[in-house]
Amino acid sequence: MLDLFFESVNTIALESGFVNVTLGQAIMLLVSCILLYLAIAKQYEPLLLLPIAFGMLLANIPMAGLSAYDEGGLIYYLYQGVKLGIYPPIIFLGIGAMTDFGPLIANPKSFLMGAAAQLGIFLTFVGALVLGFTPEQAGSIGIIGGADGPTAIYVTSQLAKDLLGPIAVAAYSYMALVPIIQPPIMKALTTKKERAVVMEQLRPVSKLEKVIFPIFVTIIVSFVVPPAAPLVGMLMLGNLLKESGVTERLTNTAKNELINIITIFLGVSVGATATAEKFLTAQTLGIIALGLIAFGFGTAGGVLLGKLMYVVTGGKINPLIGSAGVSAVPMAARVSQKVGQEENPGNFLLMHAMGPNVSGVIGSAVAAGVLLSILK
Amino acid sequence: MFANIDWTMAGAVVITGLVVVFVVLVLLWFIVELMGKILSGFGKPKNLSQPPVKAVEKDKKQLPIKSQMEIEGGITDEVVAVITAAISAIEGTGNFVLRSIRQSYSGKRSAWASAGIEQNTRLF
Repeated sequence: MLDLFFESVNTIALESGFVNVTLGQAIMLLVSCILLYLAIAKQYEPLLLLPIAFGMLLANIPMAGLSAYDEGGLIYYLYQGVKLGIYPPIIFLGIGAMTDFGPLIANPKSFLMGAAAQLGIFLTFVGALVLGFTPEQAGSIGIIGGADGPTAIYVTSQLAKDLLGPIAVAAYSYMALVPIIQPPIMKALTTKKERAVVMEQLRPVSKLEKVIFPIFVTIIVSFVVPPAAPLVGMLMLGNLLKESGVTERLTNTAKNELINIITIFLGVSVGATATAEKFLTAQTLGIIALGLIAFGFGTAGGVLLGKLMYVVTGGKINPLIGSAGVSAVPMAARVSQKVGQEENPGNFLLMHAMGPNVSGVIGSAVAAGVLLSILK
Repeated sequence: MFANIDWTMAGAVVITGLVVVFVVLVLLWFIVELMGKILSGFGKPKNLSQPPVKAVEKDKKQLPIKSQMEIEGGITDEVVAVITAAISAIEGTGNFVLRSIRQSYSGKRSAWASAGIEQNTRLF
């Protein structure tokens, strides 16, 4: 009897985490705790960073079988939604149900700034190639510059699954750092006079326009870049649910329960791809450096086009709204507002900046479609 | 660390990407401008032609109508102004004549309670 008891205890001990932990796992547990600190105490995009960080923690607990790669495990099945490209479009559905395209419809010139801010994606693509990444990996790293979490995860899950952990962590961390990264670049590229421009009030947008907009954007974008259709289609479906006014129950669900459920599953399973083997590599450091470049050049691209439009319109457009083309909604628009207010306290750029901000979401989805169609 | 990059492929991706993104968004820009012009174009001609013709008649008729505007006692001018502004915002135009305002009595329930009941018992 006693031997059996000792044998069982021995078996349990040998299968415990303490005996089987590797150095890599220990380091990753530490990294996940740091990310949890950033998410909880510093409030860096907590809605995603917390599940991602905790998923990372779960994946690196020895013998638990909770990484996204441990077949048969809980998170393996949750991860299928990421691998099959299901979760990001559903998150876009919720985002569309929360987005107001009014400022963009009222001032469609903002589309240009949304396009220019995607410069960061393509310059970073080249930078990644220089650092030795394959074209598919470089495309996934570049899309961080779209400042759009779901888009980055969608592209990476199709082009470079192995890099999902580092790219997701980089994307969401930099999105949280937008208020720190953007202002210096914005100030360096504009003059005081340009920053002080007060823009004229936006015209009111009718309900009919707001209903037609999502329909034709879906058709046009999907015809030109079919791989972008899942993202743009879901975004515009969510928006149509909201603007039509006849599907209030569905809109409420899309922007509350549904997006929350999928966010939890997405965050945990993406975090759980960050096992020690995949995360603790030189590549991860490269991705973190390139992510910063992506955001920087995206901001610069948007601001520079804003300057061009300032000149072309004879001073009617404030270049600061250009940086909002980086599609971190609504953070980037708030940054434009803040920097503008520093220059001219009575200047309210927020609604004007929302135009480029939401067009950046469409722009980064188009860029994702292009990358997918060329590189897949 | 610095690999042999296929610069032609890299260039192709960057240029195609930027061109396609710009083309699509410029296309969307033009369509939205067009949509805006068409839809606000429908509104204007009607408004312009009606007022001059009907203005004369309306002026004569408006005076008696205005004095007949029935506002129930107990409703202040400020409330009347707010109600008028709310109707104007919902209708999207100031082209209406307010004839009467009276308090609606729906039993002893407050307006909030009635709104809550209405929301919960709404049809699918």
